[in-house]
Amino acid sequence: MSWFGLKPPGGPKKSAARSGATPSARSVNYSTSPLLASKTPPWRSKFLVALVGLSFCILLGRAVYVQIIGTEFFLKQGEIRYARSLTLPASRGRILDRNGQILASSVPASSLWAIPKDLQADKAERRQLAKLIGMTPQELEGRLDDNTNFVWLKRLADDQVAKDVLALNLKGIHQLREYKRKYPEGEAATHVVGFTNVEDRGQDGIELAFEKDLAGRDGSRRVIKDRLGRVVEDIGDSVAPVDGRDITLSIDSKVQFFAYQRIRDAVAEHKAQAGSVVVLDAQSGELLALANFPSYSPADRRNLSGAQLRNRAVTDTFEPGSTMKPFIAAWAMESGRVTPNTVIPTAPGRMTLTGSTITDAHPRGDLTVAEVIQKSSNVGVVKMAMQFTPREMWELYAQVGFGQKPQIGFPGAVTGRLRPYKTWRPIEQATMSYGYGLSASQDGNVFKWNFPLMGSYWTAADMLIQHIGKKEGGLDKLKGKKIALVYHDSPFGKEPMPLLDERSKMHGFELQKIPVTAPGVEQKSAWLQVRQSKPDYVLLWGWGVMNSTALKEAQATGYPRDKMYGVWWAGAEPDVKDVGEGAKGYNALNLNTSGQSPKVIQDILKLVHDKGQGTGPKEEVGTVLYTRGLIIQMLGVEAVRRAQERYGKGKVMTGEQVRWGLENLALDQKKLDALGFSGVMRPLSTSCQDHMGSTWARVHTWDGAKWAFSSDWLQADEQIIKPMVTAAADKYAAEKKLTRRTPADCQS
Amino acid sequence: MTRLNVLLLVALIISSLYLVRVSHDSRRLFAELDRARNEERLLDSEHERLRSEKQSQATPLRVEKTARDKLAMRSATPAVTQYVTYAQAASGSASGSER
Repeated sequence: MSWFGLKPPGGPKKSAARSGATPSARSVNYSTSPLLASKTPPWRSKFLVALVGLSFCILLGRAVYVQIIGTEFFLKQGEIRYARSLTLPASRGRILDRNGQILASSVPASSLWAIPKDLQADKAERRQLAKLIGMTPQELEGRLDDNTNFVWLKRLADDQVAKDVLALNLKGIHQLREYKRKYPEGEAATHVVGFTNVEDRGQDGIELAFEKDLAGRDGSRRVIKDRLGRVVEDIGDSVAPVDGRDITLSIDSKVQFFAYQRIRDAVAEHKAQAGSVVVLDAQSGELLALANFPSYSPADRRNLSGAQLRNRAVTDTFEPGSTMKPFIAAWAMESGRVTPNTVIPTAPGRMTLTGSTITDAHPRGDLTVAEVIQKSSNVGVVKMAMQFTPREMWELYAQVGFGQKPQIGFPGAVTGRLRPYKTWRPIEQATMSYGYGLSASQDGNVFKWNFPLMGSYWTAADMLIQHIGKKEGGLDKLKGKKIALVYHDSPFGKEPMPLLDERSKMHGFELQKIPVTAPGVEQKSAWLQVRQSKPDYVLLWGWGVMNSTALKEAQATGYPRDKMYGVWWAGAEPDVKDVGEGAKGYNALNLNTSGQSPKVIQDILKLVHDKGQGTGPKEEVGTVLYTRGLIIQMLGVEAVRRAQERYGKGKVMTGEQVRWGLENLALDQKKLDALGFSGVMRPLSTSCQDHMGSTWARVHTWDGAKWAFSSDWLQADEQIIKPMVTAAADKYAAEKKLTRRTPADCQS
Repeated sequence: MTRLNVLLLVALIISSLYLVRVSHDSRRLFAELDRARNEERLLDSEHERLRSEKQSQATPLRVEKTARDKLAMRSATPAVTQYVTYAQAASGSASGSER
């Protein structure tokens, strides 16, 4: 063991001996080397043995650590180095038409991505790359600067493009296989089929409605890869991919195309904005085609507008028009009232029904039922329809499905109410907040700070009843009549009830209260009640969108509009404009004039709008609500002016001082003339007790295009209102423990 | 005894070598199978793509466009339709109804 720690001392000597042919006197044999004779210290060998033993211990320890203590970690580390998890992409299901023609299917496509910091390409190569992926070189540079580790160059590129880009053989550019949706029928079927986004999720149409069925579930498998990247073994269980189910539609792609072609040509020919066509199988009710124009190509969805995207056939509602006639005729025949040969006199081509006249485009004489449908005679159909009870007609419509949501699971298929509801809601909430009225606040002795100038909802209700009474030929003629109050279900809408109850007791008419839930876009049940009970008059206590909806419902259920009376918040242009001709004959209270003839309006046009300082649309100047707002501002300004007359001109007025001004408004005719308000409103004067000042209002009637006054100035009956106001104010004062103001307080 | 051991050793070595060979073969074949499967999937999706491509080339919309633009054709309307009556066919159907 001694050679372990020692240098063989004889080495050089040996070589010296070899170089010499004979052993010289100095050469010594190894075995006789004197060094061997010298005794080595025993610790050396022991030290070495210990060293060897220690290293074995370390090896053993490491082995124990690797094999027993840390075994899991090392197993995992090993696996990571040879095992790979592969996802098995599932393809999205196809959408087929009834004959198996493809409407949408997934095809493989390559997405190109780059690691910008690895990209090695000279100018020319970059330019070439940019050209291939359809960018300018600047755009490409910008894209590459976004991120140093990963950028998409082009997603879902065509196969040829991907091949060309990879053929450039640039380092740092990679491709990913993905699926891309193809829509062979293009824009003809796009509103039915819809489209998917770049992540292959349905965004519209059937693609969205059947997303769950169409989308597949990716599978996965674990494999061992060798050093060349080849898969050499499966390990564990693999999860097979579940492909999306194919969806077969009842659409016929041929019919679909012709439907689209025709609607496209028809829209172009008639210079229409848009058109829709729906083709149903009359036997089974299956949808054969559904097309809209304008449409869009699902493959190129840049610069899309809402008008193109909208699937009008299911999202829009419109009046059915003459197509209703066969239903009426069919029901008349089914109920045994007529036969196809029954003769209906339609001469002279017009008939008047509760104030409105129905005319035929081409007046004819006697027509049989079959001819009525052939010639589409309005008068003939109305004569048939008038034989039905309203209930019967409603049931007929309901039975065939009018006014119902279509029973197709199609995104966006809603009744036409949704859109106005959405667009109107914020305005609705705003009006609600200031529409809360408390009629008793007219009593200035209790309600020190409330000024319901020009009228409350009690005076409004009172005037309407008076007006109706006049129409009937005297308030006593109201006995036994039925008046329905269709009201906004809120304090505002309920406010007129005490007065109407009072009046109904006085005159013996029946008051029917029909609530409409705010904001009032859904009124079907309310108008069903109206139709069933057939009231002689309807008072419409509505706000905002509720008004136009009520008028449309009245039109749809056939309630005569000229029997409808609205409060002054239900009688402005926006309430009737949308309904237009359908609102003809509808009445509403109005506190003021409308139109641009009054001097103050003229002045605004001349001094504000003509100088380009108007903030709102010029054509709205002088509308009902504009003028009302103007009056409100005028009253506020006049109150301050009145207060300044007493407390000092040119000074800033306090709240109390302005209150005094409001309590002492004295706007006589002369003053109104001077302000340019002649004719706009009636004189008004307030006092400490009476915070209302006046109750004058008129009824105006919509003639289909504009409002026209149809009554003289009306005034609420003090005899009825005053005791009610005093009683209500006293009750309020008692509840809130308030005392009535003294005359001295009035002077403060 | 020693001879038996040597024999067993040789058998072991042969068996091990054979194992190495077999597992190599199995891996090679598996890789081939995998490649074939991939190819199958690729061809499948290619087939699907070509099918939809073929259909989009023959879609009525495209036919119409081509007919209109390249061949200057117009869609038929009753105004430009000539109705031809074939005397023999007419009489044939008439006699048919008589029978």
